[in-house]
Amino acid sequence: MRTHLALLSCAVLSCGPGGSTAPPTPPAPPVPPPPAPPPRDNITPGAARGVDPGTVGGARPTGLPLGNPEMNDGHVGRAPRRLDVRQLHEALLNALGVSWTDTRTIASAEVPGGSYRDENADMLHALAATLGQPDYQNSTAEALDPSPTFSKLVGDAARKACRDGVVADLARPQASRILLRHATERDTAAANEAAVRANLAYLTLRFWARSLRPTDGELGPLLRLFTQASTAPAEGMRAAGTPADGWRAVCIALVTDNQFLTY
Amino acid sequence: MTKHTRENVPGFSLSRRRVLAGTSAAIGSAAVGMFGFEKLARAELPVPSGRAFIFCYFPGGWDQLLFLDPRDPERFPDSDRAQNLFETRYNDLDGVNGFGGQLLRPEGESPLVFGPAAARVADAVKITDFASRIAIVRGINMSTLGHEVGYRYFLTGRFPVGNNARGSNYSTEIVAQMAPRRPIANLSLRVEGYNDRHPGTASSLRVDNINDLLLVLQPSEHLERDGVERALADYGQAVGPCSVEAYDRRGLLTAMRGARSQGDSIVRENLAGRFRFVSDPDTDAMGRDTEARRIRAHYGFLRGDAGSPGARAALAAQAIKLGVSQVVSVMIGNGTDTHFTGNPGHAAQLYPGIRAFTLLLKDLADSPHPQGGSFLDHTTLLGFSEFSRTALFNNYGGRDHHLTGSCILAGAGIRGNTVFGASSNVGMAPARWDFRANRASDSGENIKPEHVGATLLSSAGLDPYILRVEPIRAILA
Repeated sequence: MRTHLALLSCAVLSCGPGGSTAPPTPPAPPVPPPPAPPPRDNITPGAARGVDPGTVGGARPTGLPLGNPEMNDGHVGRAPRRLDVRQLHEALLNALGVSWTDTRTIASAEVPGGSYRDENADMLHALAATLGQPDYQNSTAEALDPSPTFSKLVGDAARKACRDGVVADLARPQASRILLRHATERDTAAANEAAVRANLAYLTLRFWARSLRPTDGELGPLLRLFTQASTAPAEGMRAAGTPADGWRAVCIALVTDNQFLTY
Repeated sequence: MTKHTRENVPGFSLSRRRVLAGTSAAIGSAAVGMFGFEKLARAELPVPSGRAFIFCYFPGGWDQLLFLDPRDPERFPDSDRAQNLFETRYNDLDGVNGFGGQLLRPEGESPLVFGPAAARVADAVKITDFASRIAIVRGINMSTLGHEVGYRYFLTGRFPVGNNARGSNYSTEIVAQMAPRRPIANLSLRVEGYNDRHPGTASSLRVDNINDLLLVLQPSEHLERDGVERALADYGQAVGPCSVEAYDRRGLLTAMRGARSQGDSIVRENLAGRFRFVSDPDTDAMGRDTEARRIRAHYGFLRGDAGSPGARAALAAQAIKLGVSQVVSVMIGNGTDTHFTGNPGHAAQLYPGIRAFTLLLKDLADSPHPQGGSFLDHTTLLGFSEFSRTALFNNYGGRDHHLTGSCILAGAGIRGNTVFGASSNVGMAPARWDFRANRASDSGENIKPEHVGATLLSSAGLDPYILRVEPIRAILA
């Protein structure tokens, strides 16, 4: 019952098809009651003890149902995990075609001036220790806590990698593009919303493994972000926004989203 | 509340604007987002207040015969090693690398005595100068000879499960109980952080070195325009669809959103300029000595040498003195896991950390606190290692891992000139100790890291019973 109420309150009060910033949507149909717990002789031994069998180690026999969520504090299966540094590096490379490279000032007492600049440093390698990777001298286990350090540096990584990724994409022919696969650099939300939505749906699948239809309401927040960034007015030395700016912003949002950073 | 301006207390100020800014950062970070970086002026910081803590980790397992738990060669000559199971070989240090090979004792009556690696003969400032502020705990039973296990045991006061830490760091517990209003309440330089029950705001902001800290504190060099950053911040704080939120039943996504807000809030504080003492030039445009030069001169490291123990100690002092942090954990020492080198090699590794710790005490003692007294009067320091090294040398002329540990506490809330506990006089075994009478007793109990943790918490009036042991009252001021 607790799970039922939690899911119901989630649906009514906070989450929804388009997230909390989405425009009002029609009320959801009544939530069906949760399925009855399986008979006692048809659940795994772990679930019979009130333990989620997916979390206690060891393989769950195939063909048997998952543990009962009501007996497992509302969850079944293993707990979600944050990407480690190596996984983040590979995920960026696979999703974007580039990782985070940047100019890095290396402090060193051995060079005049106390530091030198590496113009093309692989930043995730350079920052691996700060991001929690073990040094195998003092520790052998990677820190995977959701720390502000990780969050900040992922934001930095997303901004630089997405900037490089969009630039590289625009230099490719349309058919082999990674980010702008279903929309061109001229397509705006006002002029060709269908293409923009199709590309957003493609990107959510590419970055989050979420299969959404182009008309899905969940794309609403990303569409708004694209529109805001691509139509931003000129600001100081910066020219007015273009669709490329919009895709860069969408890329940053996709990379910094928890759906990309956890599995 | 006293108002301190930058004019009368360098580095500190408190204003209505700062209070409002801090409040809005705490309450409204989710809504406000990370915009306006390009227009930020240097932020003002809250006046340091309340008890501060600095945890100094000496990695690798130190040789306590050279530092905190020495033996007098007159009473324990190496020739008696077959009976005592001791071998000091202090003579190996006599005149080597500036060491004197002698025990160091404070002036006047004091039970404190330090091993010969505690200071070099020529050092103008020695750790014994602060004897009145120092307590030593000896004979701690670390219950392990594994580096990570002992390390995590001392960090949390709870014996790990396998290699995995249990519980939260003392630093996390302190910040959770005190809830200080600091931009980075819990800062960690190369020290692991654990938080098993408290909100993410109590977790440490952990970095590997000072340069990486600067990267975390300053905005990305590749920020989008303000309007887009604002839109991204809004997007990042939006609650996702139900299908995703259901995935958050164990709270990971919520914790990650909290960490993101905290990270954004820290960047808005614009603190990086306060930690550039490693790379800033010696003189300013007017040819005057900079603060960076003064810091480097005090802690004895060269410009650019971010990895030196002195630079790490300076970071801890700056974070506390500027009001950036309430608790700082720092790996202050170099690795001392020297199985294959004798006293000179081990002392060469151990001494820089001790030196940095001593200079940190000196810096805090010489810096006036805005609420009166010195920063040392408002800051408690702990120096520890995961365990120690054997009392006898191995066949390679080095020392292996040893069960018995020791630690040093100093500053606020600590009764100076105090020694609690002892290792045995045969082989340095952990002793059973009568906590009330402060003496060895067969009916006493083992001294463990959790006793030290409970003492630290108690010293600041915090609840120590999360550790389920009594504090060591003999070393509480």
